[in-house]
Amino acid sequence: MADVLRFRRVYGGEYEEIPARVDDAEFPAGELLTARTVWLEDGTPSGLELIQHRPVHGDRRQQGYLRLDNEILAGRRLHQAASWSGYPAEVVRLYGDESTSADPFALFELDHGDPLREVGEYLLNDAFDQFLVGLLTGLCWLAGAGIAHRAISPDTVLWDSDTGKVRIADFSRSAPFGSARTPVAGSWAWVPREARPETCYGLVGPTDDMWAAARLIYFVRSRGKDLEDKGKLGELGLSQMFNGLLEKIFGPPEDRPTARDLVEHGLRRHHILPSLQDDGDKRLIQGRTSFLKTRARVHPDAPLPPDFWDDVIWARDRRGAGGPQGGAG
Amino acid sequence: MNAIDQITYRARAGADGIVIIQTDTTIRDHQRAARWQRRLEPWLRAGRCPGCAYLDFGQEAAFIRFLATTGKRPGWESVVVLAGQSAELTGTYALELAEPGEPGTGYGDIRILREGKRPGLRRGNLETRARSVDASAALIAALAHGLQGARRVIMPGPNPGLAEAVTWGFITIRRMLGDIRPVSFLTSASGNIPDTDVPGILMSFRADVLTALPPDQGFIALAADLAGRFADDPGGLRQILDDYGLPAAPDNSGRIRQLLTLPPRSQPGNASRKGTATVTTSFGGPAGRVESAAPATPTVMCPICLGDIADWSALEYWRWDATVGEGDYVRIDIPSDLNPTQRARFTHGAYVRCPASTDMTTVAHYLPARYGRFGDPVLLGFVGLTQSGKTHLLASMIGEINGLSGYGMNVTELDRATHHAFLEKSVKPLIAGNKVLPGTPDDASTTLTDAFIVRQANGLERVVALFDVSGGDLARRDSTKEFLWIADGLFFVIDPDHINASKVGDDTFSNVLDIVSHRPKEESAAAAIVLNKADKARFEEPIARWLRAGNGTLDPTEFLRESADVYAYLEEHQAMELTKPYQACRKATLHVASPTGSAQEGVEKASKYPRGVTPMRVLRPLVAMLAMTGVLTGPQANQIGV
Repeated sequence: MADVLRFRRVYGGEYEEIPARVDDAEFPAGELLTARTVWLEDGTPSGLELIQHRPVHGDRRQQGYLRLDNEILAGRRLHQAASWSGYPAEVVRLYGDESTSADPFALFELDHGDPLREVGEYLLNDAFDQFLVGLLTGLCWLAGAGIAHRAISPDTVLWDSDTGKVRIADFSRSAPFGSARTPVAGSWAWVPREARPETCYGLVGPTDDMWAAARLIYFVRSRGKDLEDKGKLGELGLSQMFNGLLEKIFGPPEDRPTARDLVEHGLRRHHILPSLQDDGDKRLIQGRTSFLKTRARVHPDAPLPPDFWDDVIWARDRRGAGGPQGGAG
Repeated sequence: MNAIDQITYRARAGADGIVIIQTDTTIRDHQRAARWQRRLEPWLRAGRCPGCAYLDFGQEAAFIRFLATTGKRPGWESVVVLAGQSAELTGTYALELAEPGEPGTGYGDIRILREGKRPGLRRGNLETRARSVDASAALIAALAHGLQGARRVIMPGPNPGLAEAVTWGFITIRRMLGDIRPVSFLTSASGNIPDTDVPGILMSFRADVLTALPPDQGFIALAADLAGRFADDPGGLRQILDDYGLPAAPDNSGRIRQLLTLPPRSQPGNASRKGTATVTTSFGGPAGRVESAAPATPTVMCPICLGDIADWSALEYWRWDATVGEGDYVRIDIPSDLNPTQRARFTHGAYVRCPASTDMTTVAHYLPARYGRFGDPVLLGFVGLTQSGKTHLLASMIGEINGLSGYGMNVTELDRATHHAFLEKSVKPLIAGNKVLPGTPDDASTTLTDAFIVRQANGLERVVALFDVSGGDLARRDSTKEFLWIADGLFFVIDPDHINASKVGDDTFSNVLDIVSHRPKEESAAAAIVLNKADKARFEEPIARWLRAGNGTLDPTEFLRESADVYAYLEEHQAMELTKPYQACRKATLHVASPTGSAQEGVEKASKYPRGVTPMRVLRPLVAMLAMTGVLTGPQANQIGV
């Protein structure tokens, strides 16, 4: 079906109207979004093939809007974080979005690969190692972009057996660091306690995804089993592989290691983690510092609450003073 | 399936706080049991032992009995819940049941529960205590609030047993009156009381509340009469209410009208004089003059003309009469021989006319009669450019005003007619109809948009009055809106699109700050700078973070962080002129808010919000303002804005 899509490319600029062929067939994209294939007319014979996500229709459309906003925010943040070194292969790539109308959408480049739910049990030896590095690299990128995925599971992490690459998909439940945690529905096997509806608390941070990530590592290592007891990590050699750090992931989020910790201090590898800008925190700190100078002038006797910086410094410290930088592998 | 099911939960301390676990249930359907747990969990966390709760969800109801505790949160170790159809598991019946572990008709005997309407074992004790002198004051207060139409009533609750008796009496009398609206209650509450899915009235007793918010005097008189008759003779009360047609009254207003026709309790033989009213045709002076023994109220400044009103209680009463011409205020002539109940009926919803109105040069203006009864009202105004979203922010704030209960505040409207008019004109079209509201006309006179009586836990009640003024008016230097000269707090409202406009220095802000700096009021106004319509910038930092921060808490650090981040955002956009109120006002905060959650479709004023309206963070500026103006007090509140 011929159509004209009005959207803004993710790297900025104005809205563009581009002719496209749109597939009538829709398929689910997460819980509250639907997807369909579109071919943008870019001069090539078949066009540029993309996936368009849109909110579902009906009673839950309102929630669908929020989910789509999450995808767009994550996609834009990742682009900002990756602007120096190219977009990471380990996370799906937002191509463009239309975020203002009654029928908003996000355009993603094609996801290659199959959900780990289907193929995880076949990742052995080198493939398992590639999976480990790919997953943790993807999570480092997310941390660098200041985003928590909040729905890591065998259904949202894909494996491309042709290239041996992990790809983290479905950012519809993601949230920026520092925002209040909202409850995540779903199987308790993949939702950490701090995000479950009845025990949800605190602020989103860089270790929010680690709980599910550790379980995913076990899931693949055990060829498709859910982790029932962290003691099982030792049985499969994961405890030793990560130098005892993996067990710490099952504590409260404040005490968990980050993805970078797992690579550096767990796997103890010379890592090739992507270079990230990490200027979000810097801007936040600079801005707050400027405000505090004004405050000191207006209210010279007002003390600074001792926990004022906790929501920034904690996250920053955990990522290292310069953010995830350098290279690992 | 049992008509009334039983569920047992236990509280266990986990690494991340208290975990509530279902230990037993007669419900065999796991999904249904899980649904009950999700539904009840916030209530379980709000209750304490000893105590109970009854939650009428409409079709279904649940009764929770909180059992033994060792002092750990959430104030109990286990609970027993009865769940069933609300028509079968009524509040009074649940209270009448023997407690778990007591002999007799109790929780272990589902069969008897299913027999339905038989009085429970504790009924006699409850009735005796509900009619006792001990229960009288609380019962009168509860009934008065109920008659006044309150939806959420917080009562002092040092004694859970007494609270149960008061609640039992309250429901029993309401049912005698023919009021079948749902009643839910917690007899021993702590922490945040959910205000979500129970229709009708929710009454909660809290040990940390010393006195209840007083209802209108007139309703107290009506309630005292009812409670007195109930204490004397419940059967007699039922009879006279039946005789006077109370159960057949169409609504609450009808019930109150009928109650006012009851003969005085002290007059023997009146019970059978059906239809006789004591209102005479002779007229007397206004209430204040009759009740000369009452102490004079302090001087109140009229927010319309800035005139001093020396003796509020001496003012004449007026009412709005839509049938006079195109509608006008008419004086209420109050018969001199009315009893307090009848007088309350006459003055309910009344207005007073500012004495300056008698001056020929001043247009007559009126204020709700209760406006000056609670000391100096707190006046809050909205300041910003045309189309900065002031009206939408105000409408969504009022739409969510009950959310202030989450911060420990009890809020009731000051004047029902004004509140209702604003709901119908602005809140409902916006929230339910997703409609774009018209802006305030430039030539509109400053009027009280809405006002509330706000009380924090056991603190004093204060009147909080909200004013909306057209942006165009405020931008003109020659226009000096009177309320700015006495406003206690100002919301400086910013549209993100205006930040990037060529003229960042907002004349509106400058003009208002100019007035504020020249006024003789002892303390300058507090300011809340609101980056409104923040959904427009929802993918930018730090807007994304704060829009997703939920309702938050009263933690002053959280307010300071948000202030710092919004300040930094304005600084980054070279919009420092918009931060001036922070430097000019004695206390100030900065916020992000989105009254609608998304943008309107097109630019036509008659357009809609195609995504629906989902206000985000709209209460935070109001909470900050209430803290900065002293309505909300305490160590945390005092630190907000500095």
